[in-house]
Amino acid sequence: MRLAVASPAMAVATAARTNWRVRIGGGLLLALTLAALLAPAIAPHDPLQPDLARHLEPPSRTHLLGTDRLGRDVLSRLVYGTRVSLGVGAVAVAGALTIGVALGAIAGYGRRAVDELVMRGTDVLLAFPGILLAIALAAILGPSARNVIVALTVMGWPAYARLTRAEVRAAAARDSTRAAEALGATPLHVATRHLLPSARPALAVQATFGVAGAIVAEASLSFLGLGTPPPAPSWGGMLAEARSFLLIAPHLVVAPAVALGTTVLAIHLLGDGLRTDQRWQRGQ
Amino acid sequence: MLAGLALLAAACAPAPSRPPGGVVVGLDAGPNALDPRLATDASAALILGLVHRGLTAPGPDGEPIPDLAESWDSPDPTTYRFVLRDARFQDGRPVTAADVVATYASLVRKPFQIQQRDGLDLVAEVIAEDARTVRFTLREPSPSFLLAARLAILPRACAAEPDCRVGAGPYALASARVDTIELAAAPGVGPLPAIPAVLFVISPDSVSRALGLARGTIDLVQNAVEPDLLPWLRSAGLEVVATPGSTFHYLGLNTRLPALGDGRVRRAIAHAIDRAAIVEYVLAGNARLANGLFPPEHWAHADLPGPAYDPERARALLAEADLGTIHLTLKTSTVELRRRIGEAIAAMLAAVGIDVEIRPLEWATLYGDVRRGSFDLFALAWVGIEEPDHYRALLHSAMTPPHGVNRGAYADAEVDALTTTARTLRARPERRDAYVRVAEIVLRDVPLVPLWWVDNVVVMNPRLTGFEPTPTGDLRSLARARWAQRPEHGA
Amino acid sequence: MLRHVALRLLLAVPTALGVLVLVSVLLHFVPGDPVDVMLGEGASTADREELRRSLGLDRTAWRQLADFTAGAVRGELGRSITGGQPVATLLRERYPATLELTGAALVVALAIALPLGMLAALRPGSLADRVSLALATVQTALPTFCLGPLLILAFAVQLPWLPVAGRHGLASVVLPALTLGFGMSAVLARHLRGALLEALRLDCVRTARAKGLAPRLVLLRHALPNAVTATLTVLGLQLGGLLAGAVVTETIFAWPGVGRLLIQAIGTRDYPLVQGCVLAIALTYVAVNLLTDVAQAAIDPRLRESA
Repeated sequence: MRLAVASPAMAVATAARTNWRVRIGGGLLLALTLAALLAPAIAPHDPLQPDLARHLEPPSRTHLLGTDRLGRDVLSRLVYGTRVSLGVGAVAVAGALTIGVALGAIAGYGRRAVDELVMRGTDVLLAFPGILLAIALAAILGPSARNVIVALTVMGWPAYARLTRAEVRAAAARDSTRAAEALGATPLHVATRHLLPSARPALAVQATFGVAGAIVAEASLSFLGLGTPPPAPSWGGMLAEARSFLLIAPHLVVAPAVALGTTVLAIHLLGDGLRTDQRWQRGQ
Repeated sequence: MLAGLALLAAACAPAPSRPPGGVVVGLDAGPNALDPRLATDASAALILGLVHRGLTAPGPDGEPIPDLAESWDSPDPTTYRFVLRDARFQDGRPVTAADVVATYASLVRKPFQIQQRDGLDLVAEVIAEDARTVRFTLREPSPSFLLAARLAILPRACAAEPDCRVGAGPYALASARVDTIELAAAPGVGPLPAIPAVLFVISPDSVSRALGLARGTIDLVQNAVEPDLLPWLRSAGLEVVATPGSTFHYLGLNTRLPALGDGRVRRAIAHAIDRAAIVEYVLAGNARLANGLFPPEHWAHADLPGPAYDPERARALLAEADLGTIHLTLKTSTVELRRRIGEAIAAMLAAVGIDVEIRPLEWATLYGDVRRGSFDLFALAWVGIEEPDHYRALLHSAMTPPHGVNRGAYADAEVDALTTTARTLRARPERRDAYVRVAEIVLRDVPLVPLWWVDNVVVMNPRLTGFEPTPTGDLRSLARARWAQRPEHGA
Repeated sequence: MLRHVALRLLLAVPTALGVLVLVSVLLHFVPGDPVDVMLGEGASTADREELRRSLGLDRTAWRQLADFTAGAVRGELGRSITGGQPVATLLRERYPATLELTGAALVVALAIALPLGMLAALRPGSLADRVSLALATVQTALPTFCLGPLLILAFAVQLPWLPVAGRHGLASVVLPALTLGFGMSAVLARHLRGALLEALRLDCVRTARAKGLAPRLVLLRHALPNAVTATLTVLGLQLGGLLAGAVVTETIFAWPGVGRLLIQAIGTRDYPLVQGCVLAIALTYVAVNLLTDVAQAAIDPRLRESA
């Protein structure tokens, strides 16, 4: 586990030195993560405290991005919103990765019957377009951050399973693997030392884009009223609330849209950079 | 090719064209039903108010005035005799006593028997004495019966149907589609209204409604505009009329819960809410702080101070009750304004230490949950309550659903006694005293938290004249309205 | 060719069945008793028993599955709790609206992507190329529920003939189609560009160019057909995104389609209707994928070999 976390971070840092996309994307993402972690220190106001007398105010000196329909500071809500977005996104992808990699490795390296089973399973799950499955699950389970994570995990693991399976199958045919098997290594040992590491670069890229997708999915679910319930600040929820006041307070729509867009772009930039980075792809 | 077919289908989709000379009314939600015996929501009330007439109608001060009945008399407290005037249904047939009997008889059959009908629950029998006279016999005297007799009268054959849409009102239902309901002035029913048609457009998006008003594709929206948009609409040239209303907004409490069974907690909740701030900033001042069911213009109004905003006192009461942090859920409808008010209330309660989770629910779901007692707190309103006997259905300990609307299972011996005896009193001053005392107890014991009486806010096309909003917010005066000059067609 | 179609159809059946099974199982994920959630506590025992029976919850799990699947194949999907109409009827009423929206969105996407992709391929590195890249970037940053309100903001006051919500004739489909189609157009343009660049390197195309044919003609007559198959795959996948995106778009623009019906059903806890809507959308996606598979095989004979 330690290996799985420490070396990617170092590899990203190495890539950042030469790759401008990784530098900028990674840097932005780091800033956003810091904002999420340090939200209580950064946010100028309490994101949950209404101030009815000062509702729907345009940006001013005390409220840099104005106030929302209950007089809450938009900037503070945006800052706290990073916690929801990044938190849900990261945990959902972590869950999907865990399940997907495990099942994909078993499918790629195990018996044919198991392979078929897992593949049919991914077929069925992937037959649901976009976030439809997440909507259905979130609707059935009820609106909460935890249920959104569950829904996004279920929706997300097939992609990682397929990727892992492909990489594992390719790696299983290699000589080094055959040698290890001949020497009597247990399947688990073979999987962790010979098969999975080759999947790491592709998985990392996929996971990076996956986080962006999960963030957009969480925002979409919150927009539809199926995600983090009010008054918790979620960018999707803020956008949904802002719709009624489009004519008199457009800043309420623009602010969360920009926050979401910037985050997603940063992640995509990072992912793009990693995908085209030669050294990353070679798995160093 | 698929795309081409789709476009062809699009070109064939009908646009809600404005009927010539007609008025377009914007609704925020569709009616739950178009049969007056099944209709429960505000949209249905607006539409059906123009399509139907009852024996009586609510007058300007809350007293029943003759509508389809020309006159009535009550030889004894449990008997009422109505004489029908010369009127016709929209299908041309005259309104007879047999139709009245058929309508009231249908109420006890499925699917109509599920409705809660204040004042009609005591009707024992309805008999047609002749073609124009109907006699009602009640099981007990019921002061609210006359007002309840405003129930829409349906033609006999139609009343036997599960979905009757023919009435005796000035406008007939011409068409009912997914997004629009069109009414056309019915000839032969009475004096023909100057407005030949009314088109109800269901526009659930509030921006869409506001833009429709600004562009002229919608002529009138009543009580369905964001208060914050009113200045913008005024600057767009629309007329905004706010008249004091009687719609009573309140917070219902479920006294079955251990926390809410404690009167101190309920009082704390009442003191924790800054109602004045909500009225001023969220409702843009278009409401009056309430202290009971009835506003000042009503004869049963109680001249007492409403719950005071006193968060310190609230905290003290909660400390005294010593129940730790109380967790409650507040159920509201999904309408943006209601949700906002709910969140504001939740924040105010959180400030004194009560943790409240908001549950916005679709109207049907909310109504169902509330009726079944499945709630901690809920925010709803009573619309068009004119008869103080409603206090009995609301607060009497035996009036829990399905018998009455005491959804929070409140029980107080004095309230029980007062509401029961007030039914039998006939003199107005005595009744008034009894109900004022009830209001006093409500304010002291807080089975529900009175919030405010909402004004009727009508945003309309300035060329529409003669339309007067009523305190209950119905559109009846559209039948007497007219255009000041020819309206432009479409937008 | 026919064999290929038959094979594809056969392979799609287990997926469709799997979708059916998953949807029918959804009801069991409701925390607590689904009947209680749908009717609320305090509902009469008679009502609850009736609902339980009509949903088949009083039977064994296998029986429920079989019944649901059999019913779905027949076209019976149960009844909506709010109102009692058959779910299949409600779906049939709303389906054309969703088809209209996705069809229009597809037109928008193609109208933007085709010229942009072709221009970008013809002149790599030019303004058109950079615009298509910028568009793709913007598309990732602006999901449907952001773009919709922003478009409303931009056009609501400026162009008064564009309705902001509802389905009323041709003009009202413009903003929703733009919102939904925009996301697809950017990705499509980039893929078309890539596929065209690949196709332009093919021998047959090089020959045509060597023969002195104008670059535009080369593009249209030789490169494009080859690029289409690669783009078709992307189109198929993106159509899935359109279907899912329709749920959000229909909500924003109050468009009376299946997506909005789904959200309304969720709001009223009308789980049979939720199941029906999810099933309809998922099965449409399966059908669309099948069609793109077949279309690809029809256009490119090489693909018929691999099953």
